[in-house]
Amino acid sequence: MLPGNTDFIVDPAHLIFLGVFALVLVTVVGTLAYAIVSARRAVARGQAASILWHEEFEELPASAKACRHDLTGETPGRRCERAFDCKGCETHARLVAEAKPLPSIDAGGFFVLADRLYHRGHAWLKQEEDGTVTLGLDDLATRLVGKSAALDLPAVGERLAENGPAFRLKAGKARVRVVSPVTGEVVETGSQGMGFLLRVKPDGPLDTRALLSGREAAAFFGRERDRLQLVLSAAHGVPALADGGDLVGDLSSAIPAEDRDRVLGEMLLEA
Amino acid sequence: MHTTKHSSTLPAHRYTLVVDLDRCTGCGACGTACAVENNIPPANEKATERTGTVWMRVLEAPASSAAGGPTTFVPIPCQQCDNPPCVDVCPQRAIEYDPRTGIVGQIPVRCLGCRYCMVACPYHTRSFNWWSPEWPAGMESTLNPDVSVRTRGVVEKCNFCVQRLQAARAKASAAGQKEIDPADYVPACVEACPSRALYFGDAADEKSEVAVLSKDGESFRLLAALGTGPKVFYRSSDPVVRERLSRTGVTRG
Amino acid sequence: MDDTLIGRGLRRTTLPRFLLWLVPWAALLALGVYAVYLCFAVGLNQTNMDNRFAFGLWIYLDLTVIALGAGAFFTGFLLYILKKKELKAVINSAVVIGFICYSGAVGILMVDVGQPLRAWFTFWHPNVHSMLTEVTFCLTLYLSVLAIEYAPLVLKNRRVKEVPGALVLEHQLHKVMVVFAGIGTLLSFFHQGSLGGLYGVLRGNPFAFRTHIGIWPTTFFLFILSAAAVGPSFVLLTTWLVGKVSKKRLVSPEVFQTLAKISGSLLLVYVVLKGIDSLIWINTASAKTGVQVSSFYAHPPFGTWVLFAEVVLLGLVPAALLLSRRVRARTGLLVLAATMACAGVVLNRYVMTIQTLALPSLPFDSFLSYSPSWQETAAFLAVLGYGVLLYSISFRWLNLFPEERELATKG
Repeated sequence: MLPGNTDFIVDPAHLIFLGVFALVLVTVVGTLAYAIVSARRAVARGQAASILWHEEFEELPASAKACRHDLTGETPGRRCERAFDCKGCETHARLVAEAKPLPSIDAGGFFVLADRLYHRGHAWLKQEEDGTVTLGLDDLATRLVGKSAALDLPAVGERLAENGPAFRLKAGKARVRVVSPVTGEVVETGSQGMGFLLRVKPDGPLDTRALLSGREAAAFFGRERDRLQLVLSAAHGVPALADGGDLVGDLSSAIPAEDRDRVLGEMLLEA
Repeated sequence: MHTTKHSSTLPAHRYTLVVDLDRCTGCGACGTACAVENNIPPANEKATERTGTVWMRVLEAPASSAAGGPTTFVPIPCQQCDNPPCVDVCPQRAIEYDPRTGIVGQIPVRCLGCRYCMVACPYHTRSFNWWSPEWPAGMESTLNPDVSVRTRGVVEKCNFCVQRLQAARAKASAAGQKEIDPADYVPACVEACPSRALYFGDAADEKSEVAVLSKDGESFRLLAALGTGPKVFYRSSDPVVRERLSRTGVTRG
Repeated sequence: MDDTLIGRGLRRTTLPRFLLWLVPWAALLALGVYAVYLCFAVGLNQTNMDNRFAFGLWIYLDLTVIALGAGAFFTGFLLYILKKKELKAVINSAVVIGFICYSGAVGILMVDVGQPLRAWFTFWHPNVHSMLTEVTFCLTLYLSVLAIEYAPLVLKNRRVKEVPGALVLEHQLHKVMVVFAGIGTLLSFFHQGSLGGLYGVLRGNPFAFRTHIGIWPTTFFLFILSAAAVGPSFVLLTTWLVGKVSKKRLVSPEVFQTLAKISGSLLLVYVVLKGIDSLIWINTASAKTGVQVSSFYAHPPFGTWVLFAEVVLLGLVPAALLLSRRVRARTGLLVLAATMACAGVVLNRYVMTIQTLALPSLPFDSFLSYSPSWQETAAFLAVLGYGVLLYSISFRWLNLFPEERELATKG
């Protein structure tokens, strides 16, 4: 096969054949090596969390990828293709510039607070006067995991990356991860009782364009409630809330323990 | 590419075998001599006609006429094609066509045992070693030191006793001659044939016996229509035999 | 341990039931492994092949599974190169099936040859004029490519992805998947073709020999086309079968429609070209060798019905069925059509391997028969057992059907 081999034949047919073989082999090995090297580099650069977020976004069912302007009824049926990163989105910029009055939206029985910005990973963000932001778990997720859920918060001084893990929760056997809506450093940890879970000092000026507020958020929760009903009905084989009424306060105790892992897995990200 | 090379330029020497079917009695001495010369082991007790290792088979052709008549015996070694279908298909060049002699050589130590050459050969002159070679105690001493013993799982076939050609060349070169003495190179089967049905020689020499015999009207080749260019010729004075054996087998319904 | 390996949101049967399902297939594999051991330890005399019938069940199996496994390369080609996005729903399953088919074929090939340890000789002393060299080179490379395409599925397993960097590697591999899809297509093109060429080049066999286009016989091109045509049908068939066995909806009906349309169109092109090739062969074969083509079909059981079955019954008919919208609307008929399409190619490979060898060659030869030994059959069935095992494990623990989760929630 190699030149120098005792019976290596130098003729066009052998040179073409072995040349193509070598080319294909080099391409396969080279591409594989490229993928491995760039994966190592991405890990070294700390991009693992963001890649995880993108991967999981890709796996979301189409209905869960609804654009925020689909939620409000401005662009019905539009699906997000940017992992909910509205900053580089031209459609978002245009619609914000047009600033159409939003159609009225059913809040779906969840608390949507005016001073909060909501992330689709079920975290909320509140801008504080001292320039820091506080992060917490939104109403739906709080009710889903229940009061007894164990919190796993990062320590003061740890760094958070946008769409990287912010904190983790453990409810029974299920472990879930809530991603951060902001990049910055943890300056204080809180608790459910304190009204926030983390206080974060953002890196540079705060950019909240990707986050939902007001009626957008209300519409998002409406969709999430519908999705939850489907998941629950798939679990029990009977439709829950057939009347379309509001959800019960403590969802976690309403879900049978054997289904909790699956339901949480469907609604929240896996730790 | 091999194909064009072989068919366009014929070798300087064309070692050729002519089989006179009228003389063959089907005694099988050729096959026995071949096995002894080429270290072909005794057949395994479970071997059948189709699984034994045989370089020189003697087959029985159907009766020469519709009314019956004598049986024709047809000895079939490798046909040493000038356009061999086996050489092209071997994936790892374990078969070589020698452009100086026209002999198709098998290199068993390089053979993978894929048997593609056996599928390609329309003459079925190739044997696969389905069993490990075994000689009864004491019989090893009769092995021919000029021929290597082949292992299980490889394909082998007749090579016109090429070791005898090498010996003849060595003898010629020791005597300072360029060409071998034709009398020094005779395959074992030809030597052994009691009825002198086998003729062997270099057909490139126009005056040789094989050149003359192979060209007369009584000679023909098996499956000549396939264009493989065998260097084993068959001859018979009976036109019915010639016609029957020149045909392609599949045409008999 | 088992339930944490199953992808989130996917429902799978209980572990004991799953293991029970594996038992018969594992038994089949074990019997085959024993048969293979016999072939290695005692020799190929354990088979019913002989000097005259030098290829048998195993080569037939290789040709068949490689044709059916073509779904892997062709789905990859349609998805990544032609951007047929809806095929994303079956690509993972197609890759697993492709890997099973190709690894099974290579495994059996290693038992089939007399000296498997010399397999590397083909790389070291290649005869590039041999179709088998082309097959060996392409098959080895393509099996590596399939392994690389399989890797992301494993890396995305619920537990494996917790390994730091696993998901990042999966992400990076996915980004370069188009390169592997392209290489896979190139390699498949050549080895599907050279498997066809294997017989088309046999100058000594007027039944198998075909006119050459350039350096390749027409069977080279017909094998590529037929493999590409039945690949999607086989993906459709296996997806349907897995859905039936697991009692789940795995892909949306539109995916079946797309697969059927592609399979039907290619099958139609194949059948037309196969018909033209047969006509050319019928009219030219005898000119060169003096053999009337009719005499190839004068040896029962191989009558002209074989050609008719191949071209019309299992070629033209399934092509028409797959292309009919009314048929496609009914899953039962659709599956029947896909089965017929696959059967047509399976028959073609059978004819090429077995009829080629069975027909007499020398004037005093007779029609030969061959039936495989139990060892050959067991090794053959072991590939089936191995395939079902690997597929079942992949189906349980890897996410083979991306749409499954959403379809399950839709109820």
